[in-house]
Amino acid sequence: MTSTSAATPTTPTVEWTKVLRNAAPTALSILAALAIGGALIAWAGENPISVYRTVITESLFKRTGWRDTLSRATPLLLISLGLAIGFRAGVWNIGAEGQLIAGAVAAIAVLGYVDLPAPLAILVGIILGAIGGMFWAALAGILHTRFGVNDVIATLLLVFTAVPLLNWVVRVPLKDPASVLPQSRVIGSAELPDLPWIDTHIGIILAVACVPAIAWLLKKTRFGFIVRAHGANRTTVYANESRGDVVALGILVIGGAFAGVAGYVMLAGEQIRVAGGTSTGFGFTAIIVAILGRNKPVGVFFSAIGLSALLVGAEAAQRRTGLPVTLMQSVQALIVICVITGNALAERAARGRLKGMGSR
Amino acid sequence: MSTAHASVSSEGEAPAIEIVGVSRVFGDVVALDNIDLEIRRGEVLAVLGENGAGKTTLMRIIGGLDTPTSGSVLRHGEPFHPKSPAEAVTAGIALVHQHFALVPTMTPAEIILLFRAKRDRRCTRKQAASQLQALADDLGFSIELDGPVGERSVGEQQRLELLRALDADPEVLLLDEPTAVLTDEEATALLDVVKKLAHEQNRAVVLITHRLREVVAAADRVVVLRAGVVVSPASPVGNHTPESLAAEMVGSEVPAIARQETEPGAEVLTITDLYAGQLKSATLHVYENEILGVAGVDGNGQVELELALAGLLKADFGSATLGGTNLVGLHPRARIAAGFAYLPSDRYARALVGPMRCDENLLIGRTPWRLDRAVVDAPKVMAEWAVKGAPHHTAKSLSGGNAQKLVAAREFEENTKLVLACQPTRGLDPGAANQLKQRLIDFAGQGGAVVWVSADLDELLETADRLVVVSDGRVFGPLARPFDRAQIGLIMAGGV
Amino acid sequence: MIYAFQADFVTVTFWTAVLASGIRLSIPVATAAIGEMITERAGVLNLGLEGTMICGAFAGFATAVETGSLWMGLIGGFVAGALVGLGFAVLVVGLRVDQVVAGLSVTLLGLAITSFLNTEVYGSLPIKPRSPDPAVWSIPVLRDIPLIGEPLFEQNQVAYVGAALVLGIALWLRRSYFGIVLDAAGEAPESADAAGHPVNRVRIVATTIGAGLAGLGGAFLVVGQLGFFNSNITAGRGWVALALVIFGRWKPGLIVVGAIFFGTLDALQFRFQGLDSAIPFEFFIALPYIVTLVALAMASKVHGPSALGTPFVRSTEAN
Repeated sequence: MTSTSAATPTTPTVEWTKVLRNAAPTALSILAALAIGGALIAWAGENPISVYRTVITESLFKRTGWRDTLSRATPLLLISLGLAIGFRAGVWNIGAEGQLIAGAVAAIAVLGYVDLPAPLAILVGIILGAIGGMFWAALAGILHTRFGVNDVIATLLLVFTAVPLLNWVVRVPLKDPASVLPQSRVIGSAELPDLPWIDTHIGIILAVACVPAIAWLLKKTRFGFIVRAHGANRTTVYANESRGDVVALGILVIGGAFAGVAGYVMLAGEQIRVAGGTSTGFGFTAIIVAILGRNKPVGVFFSAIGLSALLVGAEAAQRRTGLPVTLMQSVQALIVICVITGNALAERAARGRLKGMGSR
Repeated sequence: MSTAHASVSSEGEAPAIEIVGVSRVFGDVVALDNIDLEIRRGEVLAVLGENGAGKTTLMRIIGGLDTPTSGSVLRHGEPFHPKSPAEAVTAGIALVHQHFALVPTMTPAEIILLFRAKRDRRCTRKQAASQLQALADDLGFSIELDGPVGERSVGEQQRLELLRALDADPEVLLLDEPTAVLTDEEATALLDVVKKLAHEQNRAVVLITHRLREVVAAADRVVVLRAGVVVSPASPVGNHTPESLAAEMVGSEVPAIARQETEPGAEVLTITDLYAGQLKSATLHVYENEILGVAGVDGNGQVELELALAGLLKADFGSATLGGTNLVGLHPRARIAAGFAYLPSDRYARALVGPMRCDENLLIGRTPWRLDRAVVDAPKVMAEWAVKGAPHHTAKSLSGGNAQKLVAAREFEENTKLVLACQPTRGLDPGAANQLKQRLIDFAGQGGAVVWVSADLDELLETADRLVVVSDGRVFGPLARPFDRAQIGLIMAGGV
Repeated sequence: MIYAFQADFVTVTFWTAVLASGIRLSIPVATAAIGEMITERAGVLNLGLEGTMICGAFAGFATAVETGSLWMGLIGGFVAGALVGLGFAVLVVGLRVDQVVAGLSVTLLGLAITSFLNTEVYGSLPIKPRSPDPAVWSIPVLRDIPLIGEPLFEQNQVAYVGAALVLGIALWLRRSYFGIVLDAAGEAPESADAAGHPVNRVRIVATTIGAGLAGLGGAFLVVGQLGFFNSNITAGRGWVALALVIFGRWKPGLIVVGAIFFGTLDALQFRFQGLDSAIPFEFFIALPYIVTLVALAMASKVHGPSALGTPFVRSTEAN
C-alpha cells in the first residue's frame, strides 16, 4: 500500500514479491478446487467451461446477479465476522445456524405483533435478533465454560435443537392464522427497504460497515488484543488479562449476536416471514467464509462475496442445466480444503529442510 | 594427565563408546564444540556442567535422539550413528530422561512392553509384570505393579524409569539428572544402585548432573563441560576437589551473587488456611525485605500454591491477602494493580504468548482500551533487562533466558510489592540465572517481598532468608537461617 | 416391522419394541464412536466424523445397490470412510493443518458431495432404489426371554455384525500391543517416540481405521436399516458419536452404553411423535440432542488423551 515515491524505489517491488508469494498458493489452490469441481461437472455430463461461465456471468455481470450475490453475502458476511472473532480466539462456534434461527424467531415474535414506525422497528429488529442469537449462543457458552463441554459439540448440537424449535414455533404459537402453511406472520414495518441503485436491501450497509469496525477492534483495542492472545495461549490471558470463563463466554455470545442479527436481516430483507422446514445452511457456509478469509475482516469480506457469487451462479446453472446446487457447495468445501493444503505445503517449502525433521 | 587414566580400568578392551570431535550447532548457537570422550564399562562417568553446557545434547546424540553436525561416535571401535532411540536400544544403549518417559496413564507392565518395541510382541502384560518384579527385586526396589504410574510419587516414578531402561539389559546406561526431583535420601539410595550397576554388573554408566555432591558420591571419573566445550577432560574424581570442579563448571565470567542480610519489615502477604487441589491448609506470612523460599520435591503441592495465588486454580478454601486485598478469586488485572508480580514455573504457558511480538508481550496484563495509548517503552525496557531480541521479534523466538528476562521486565513495576518467582532459573544458563537471582535479591533488599518456589534446594539455601518446605500437600516451617540441610531433607521425605 | 401403538405405552410390548429398535439405531453411532475413540486415543481429533460417516453411507448404499450384496455394501462403506480418513490424516498429521479447520471442512464436503452424487446417480430414476434388505437372525429360546429377548436375539444380520465388531475391537484394544502403542501416541508422544515407535505413522493408521469405522457406521445405518439414501441422512449422528467418545471417557464399554442410551431415545422419539400428547412432537425430535448435551455437561471435567489435537514434532532443540 505504500505509494511509489522516488525516495524508495525498491520498496514496492519487495512488497509485490511478498504479496505474490503469499497470494500465489491461495490462488493456485482455488484453481485446483475449481478444476476438481470441473471434473465433477464433466462427470455429470455438462461442459465445465460453459457451466463456470454461466456461474460467473449470472452472478457478477447481471443486475439481478449482483443483487442476489449481495443480498446473499449480507447474512454470510455478518455471521462470518462474528465467527472469525471466535476462531481468532480459538473458540469454535460452529452453531451459527441455530443462533440465526433464534435471532429470526425473537424478531418475529415481537415485530409480527407490535406495530412500530419503520426506523424504530428496524432498530428493534436488530436488537431482538442480537438478543435471540446471544441467548442461543449463551446456552452453548454456559455449557462450555461452566460445565466443560467441548465448544464445537455444544454449539453444534444446539443447532439440532433449534431446528425443531423453529418448526414448532411456526406451527403453533407464532403461526399466521390466515395461512394454512406452518409459517409466521409477515414482519411488517420492520422490513428492510431496498437501496435504489443496487436493488439490495440496506442490510448490506450494516454488514459492510462492520468490516472496518471489527478490523479496528481486533487490531487496535484491548478487546482485540485479548482475542488474539486467547487464540494463541489462553492460560496467559487468564493469568494476566481477564477471567477465563468470561472471555470464552463473551466471544461465543458475540458470535451469537452477529448470527442473530443475520437472522433478522434475512427475515426482514428477503423472506418477510419465518417458515418451518429445512434450514438455510448459511450458518455452515459462514464457517467456510471465515476460514477462507483467514479470520480477518477484510478477507472475510471478499470470501463472503466470492462464495455468495458461487452460490447464486450455481442456482442459475441449476435452472439452465439441472446441475444441483450441492455441486457448488462441494466446490466451496473443496476450495477450503485445497487452500489450507496449499498454504500448508507453501509453509513447509518455506521452512525448507532447515528444521524439516518431523518424525518418521 | 590423559595418559594417567589409561591404565586405571580397561584391560586393553576398546571403550564402550568413543566420541571423537563431535559438534552440534542449532542455527547460530553452538551447543557442542569438538567434544572428545571415552565411555567405559565397569565405571560411572560423571558429565558435570551447568544448564546449557551441552550435557543433554551430548546424551541425545548417543541415545539416537539427535545427530551431530560434525564428528563421529564409535561403538566398540566402529562408527555408530543411531537414527532413532530404538536403534540405540538395539545397540545396547539406554537413556533415562530428565523428564520421565513414562506414560502416566499406563501400568508399569504396559510401559515395559511399550519400550520393548518390536522385540517382544508376544509377551503378555502378566509376563511383563513378573519380569519387572524380578528386575526390581534384583536391585532391592519395591514397586507397585497395579494402576497407572502417573499417580505414583516421583521417587517411585524415577525407579520405574530406571527399571524400564534396564529391561533392555543395556551395556551403556545414560542417566540425565536422575536425582533432580528426588529428596536427598532417595538420591543417595539411587546413587548406590547406580554404582552397583557399573561395578557389579559391569555396565558403562554415564551420570549427567550439575550437582557436585553426586559426582563425589558416585562417580569414578568426571568430565566437565561448559558452554559446549570440554573444560576438564575425563579423569578420576580423586584428582579433583569439589572446589576445583565448581570453579571449572561455573567459570570465571559468571559473577557470584551477593546476598544481603536484611531485617524483615511489615507483613506484605498473608496466606491463611489455603486449600487448593492437593494443597492443604497452607498458612504463610511474607514480610518486606525478605525472600521466603518454598522448597520441596516437585509435585507435592507447590504448583497448586502457585496457581492458586495466580488465580489459575480455584482455591477451595482460605485467603491470600496482599496489602489488604484478597487475591483469591480476584480479577487478574486487579491482582497486578495490587502489586503482585508473577514469574511462573512454565513461562511459555502462563506468562507469554509465543506468536505475539515482544512489545505486545510486554503489554499483557497492562493493555489500555486503546492499544495505541499504551505507555510501555519496549526498546527501553528490553535494554534495561538486556533481553537479546528486538521488540518486533516474536516471544517464541527468544531463548529460555531471554524469555524469562522479558517476563521479568514486564512484571517488575513501580508498585510491585510481591514477586512470586516459581522455578525462576529453570532452563537458564548460569549467567542469566545469576543475573535474575541478583535482581530478586536486590528487590528484596529494597523493601520488596519475594516468594521463591524452587525444586533446587541448593538455590534456595543460597538465596532465601527463611524457608518453608512443602511435602505431601502440607507446608512445614518456616525455618530460619542457618538452615539445617539434613532437617530439610527429612521434611521433604515426609518424615517431619 | 410395524408396531401398532396405542396411547398406552407402559406395556412390555412397547418397551420391547423400543429396545429392539433402540439397539438397532445405536449400532451406527456406536461404530462411528468406537472409530473416533481409536483416532482420539492416538492423539488426533477428527471433527470430520459426520462427513466421513455420510460418505460411508453413500458409498455403502451405492455398492450394495450396484452389486446387490449387503456385505459388499458394508465393505464399500468402510473403504470409503478409510479413504476419507487417510486424506484427513495426511492433512493434519503429515502437513500439520489445524485439526478443527480440516475436520469441519471434511464434514461440509462430505455432506455436500454425497448429496450431489446422490442426485446425479439416483435422482433422475423414476423409482428410488433400495439396497437389499438384511435377513433377521432369530435365536430360538433366547428370543422368548421377556423384554430383552427380542431386542438382543431377534435382530437383523447387520446388527449382529456391528455388535460383534464393536465388542471385538474393544477386546483387541485391551489385549493387544497395538492398544499400548496407540495410547502412548496420544498420551505421551515423546515417550512413544523414545520407545522407538513411529508416532505419526501410528496416528495416520489410527485415523484411517477410525474413519473407516465411521464409514462403516454410515453403511450400517443406510444399508443395514433404512435401505435408502437421502441427503443429510446421518442427521448429526457423527456429532453425537463425537459427544459419545467424551461421555464414554474414551473407553469402549461406556461408549457402547451411551450409544444404546442414545439409540433408545431415538427410537422413543420416533414413537412419541406418533402419540397425540400435550407435548409437541418437535420436543421429542430435539430430545436426543438435549439429553446428549446434558449427559456431556454431567460427564465433563474428564480429560481426554493429553496430546489430543496437538501435532507431534520431535524436538531438536537442546534443552
